[in-house]
Amino acid sequence: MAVDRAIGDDGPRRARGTPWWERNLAWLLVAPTILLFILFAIIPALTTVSYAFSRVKMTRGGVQQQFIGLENFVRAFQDPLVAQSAWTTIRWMFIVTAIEVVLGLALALLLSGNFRGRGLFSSLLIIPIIMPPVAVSVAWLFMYDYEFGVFNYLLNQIGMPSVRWLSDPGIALYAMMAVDVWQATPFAFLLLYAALLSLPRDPYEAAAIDGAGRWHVFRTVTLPLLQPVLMVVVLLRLIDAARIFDKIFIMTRGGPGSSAYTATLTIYIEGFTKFDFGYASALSFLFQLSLIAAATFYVKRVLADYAAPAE
Amino acid sequence: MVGESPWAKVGRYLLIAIVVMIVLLPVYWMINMSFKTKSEFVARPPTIVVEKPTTENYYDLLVTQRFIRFGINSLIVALMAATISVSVGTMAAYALSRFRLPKNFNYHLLFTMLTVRMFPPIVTVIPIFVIYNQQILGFRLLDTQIGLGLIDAFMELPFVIWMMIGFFRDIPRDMEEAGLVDGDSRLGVLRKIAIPLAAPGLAATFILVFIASWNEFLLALILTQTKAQTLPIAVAGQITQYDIKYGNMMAAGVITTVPVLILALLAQRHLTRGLAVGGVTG
Amino acid sequence: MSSFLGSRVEGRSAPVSFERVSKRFGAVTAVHELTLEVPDGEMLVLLGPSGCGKTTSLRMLAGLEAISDGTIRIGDTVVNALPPRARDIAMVFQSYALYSHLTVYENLAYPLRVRKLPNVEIDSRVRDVAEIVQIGELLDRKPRALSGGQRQRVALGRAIIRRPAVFLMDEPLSNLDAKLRLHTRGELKRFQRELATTTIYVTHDQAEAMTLADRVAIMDGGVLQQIGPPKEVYARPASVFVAGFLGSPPMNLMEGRRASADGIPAIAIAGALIPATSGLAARLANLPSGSEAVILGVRPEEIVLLRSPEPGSVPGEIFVVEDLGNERLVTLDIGGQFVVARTPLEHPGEMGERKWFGFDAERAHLFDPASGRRID
Repeated sequence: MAVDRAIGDDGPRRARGTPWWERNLAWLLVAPTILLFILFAIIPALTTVSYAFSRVKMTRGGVQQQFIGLENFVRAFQDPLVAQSAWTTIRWMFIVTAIEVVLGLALALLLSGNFRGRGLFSSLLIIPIIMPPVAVSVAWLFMYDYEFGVFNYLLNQIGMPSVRWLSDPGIALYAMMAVDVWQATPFAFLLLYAALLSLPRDPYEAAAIDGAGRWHVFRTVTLPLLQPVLMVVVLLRLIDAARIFDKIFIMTRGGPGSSAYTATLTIYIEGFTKFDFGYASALSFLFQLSLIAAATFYVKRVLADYAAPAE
Repeated sequence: MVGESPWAKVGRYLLIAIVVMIVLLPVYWMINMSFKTKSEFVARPPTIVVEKPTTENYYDLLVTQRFIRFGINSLIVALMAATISVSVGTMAAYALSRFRLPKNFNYHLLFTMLTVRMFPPIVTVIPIFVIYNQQILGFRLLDTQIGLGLIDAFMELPFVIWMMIGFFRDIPRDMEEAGLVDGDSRLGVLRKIAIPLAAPGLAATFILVFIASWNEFLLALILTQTKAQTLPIAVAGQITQYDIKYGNMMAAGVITTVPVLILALLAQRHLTRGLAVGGVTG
Repeated sequence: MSSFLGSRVEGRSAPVSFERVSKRFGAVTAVHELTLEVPDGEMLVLLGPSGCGKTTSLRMLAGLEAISDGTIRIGDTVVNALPPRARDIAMVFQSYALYSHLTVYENLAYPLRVRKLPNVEIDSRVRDVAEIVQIGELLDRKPRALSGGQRQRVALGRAIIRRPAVFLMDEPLSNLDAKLRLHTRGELKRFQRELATTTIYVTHDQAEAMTLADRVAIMDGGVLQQIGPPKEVYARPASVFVAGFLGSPPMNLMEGRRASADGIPAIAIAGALIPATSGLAARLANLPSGSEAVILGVRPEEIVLLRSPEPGSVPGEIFVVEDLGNERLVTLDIGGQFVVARTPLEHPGEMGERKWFGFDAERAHLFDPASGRRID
């Protein structure tokens, strides 16, 4: 024992007991997250609620706030632009998500299984997904141009008249949806395709032995197996579609006129061009509330798997 | 794939070719146009491949209009957002994947972060604008790179936590336990074992947050004005009602896209996972 | 490999004690009031089926699992609240848990680096230990470039490099193939003897337990069943569980009833009466009053197969005959119970054949079916 001591002390490390910070390490590790959450979620949320019931005026170095009860909300429910932008947002969310997910799924099924060049194909499909929306918008803006755009050029080539893609109120919104579909369908595809590749083989072999038809196999085997991923994809697309702003703002500023105003756009206009923070906050409040109501149920199901640490 | 008929095979590759074309056409067109002179730009029929390539659009944009400074702003904001978000999120993710906090806190925190992910940014930005506009400790965050970087970091925090929980769960638990028994502290194990093992995932997450912040539009539009304006806002600012300098715009589109593309290539291996937890989308 | 341990890796060992230690996971009790004394330098093997609480006990000792109740001591120190690093232990994990991002060298050096030893000393000790566990030429490799046996050696080297007071080993051989396992088992035993460091070794493999242990502690359902030297545990199993767990094939456990044959105490099994000789009769008398049922345990090697009935023999029918190469196992069906006899290969027997068997009733083990405990 003495000999051993002479060589060097590498017995137990001298910590007697555990220092406080190590006992509470878990809390310390989540503390910055909680701090950011308080600063950027709780405080803003409370502020929004208080603004929503107030008339808010910008002053030098601050704001002046005056309680006005439900006035902002009454105004919101009477404002045709609010109703219109809500309806536009809903249409945008569901049309865009439906097309993207159905197209993505169809593509994934048609390409199901491995094929040569799969890696390269996936890499190419990543390009639209990660492209800055501003670049996407700019590229499409030019393709949609009435005079110089490639779409009208092609239409003219086959003898059709030019289309006012972004200045006809009946078309602009849908033209911009096409841009979103272009950008996000690869997203749906990549996730669904990866999920398809990782499906177990057994159910398919069993179905083949049973002599099931393709449609039947799709409905009874593929779709149920794919359902969890499908739900995630739909959720993510809905979340992102609900907040649509950049493409529409860049391409038409919500126009022509106010025909393509979405929820975010309307709030932006009220808040940051008219600087009516009270009214904009009331609209934010309503927007957030309706999203939470719609999503709570949906999210709880998706989340359950992540809740506890793995054993 | 076994016993596939030749026609099915031809059909498959035809489909792939069509999809690739649709995906690449706008990108190609943008690049193609960005190198055209003003006269070639309006030529009918449009030239499929640029005939007299010029860099005048790029020169005008970067040098004459000094877009380079917006690029630097974007770079700084994105770097700050990624650094803050990844460090804060990694710590939380480690705690959530290795400890069981009382009162089901793990679940509550994850659920809360998911609701954050669902916040449309517009609903937070009004109060943030007001707060940033005030002098706090003699410092005004509006129109600063750190101000925008901070909120971008927060917006991407749920994504980082989700990603990193996945990577930490891939690390065998007993490797960290071996570290503890070998004499290390919890923090030492996190630093010397968990982080190095999760490093590839960490890097990918960093890159994806960087891309998201680089691409971000709404917050940058509202929270920066001149000093800290980012590239996307500057590019969008080129579009005016009466005069759209398409050549410049195409060049601007290429310039904003190129860094993102390079980074995405680096992170490609983890990108599908990144997408699955809801990172970088338009 | 003899005298491979110079003064450098001389052990500085400490005893270990568990005092009514329990571990509960929610409503599940994984370990129930475990009490154990492991004297300095002993190799104690915790043996039991999976889920018996042996690994949980080891993890509590390591500090990787909180203790619900009771006291664990290493030396004189109560370690209940100490983090693993303050417990002066080293552990070999079942998976080896090598640091996959570090070279073998850095794996071995980790426990020393954590203690901030000077680089010169780290280097010389890493090289010494690498020599001892014979991985000297692998120091620059990453774990994934090693074979299973090599990984096991690195794990062992990492454990011995810092002279802990106690070694913990969690099924360290179970990921090796059968041949390598036998070889490594022998080496482990030598190491432990030379280091003379207290070692707690967890396994579900009774051959490992029997060969390695100074004493074996057998656990089941979170409860310590019996502790003692391997020979003793094998010779005098304290419970039906231990009797049925040890030995391959395990002890035959026959359900019988207390009876009397012509006034002499006897045991009735499958319609046959086995007269109790004096020793057995005395033990029978120790059965709790009021209970007539008894379990009689006889090891397969003590069963003698007979061609014709003899006094005290039990009739049966050959159910199956299995040849193991050097011996033959004959399973008899005695009215719904099965009895295995270990016989020489040439012993005749056909399936369905009627046979009798006998055994030395004096050497038979008796158990109380109600408590499962041994009766002496």
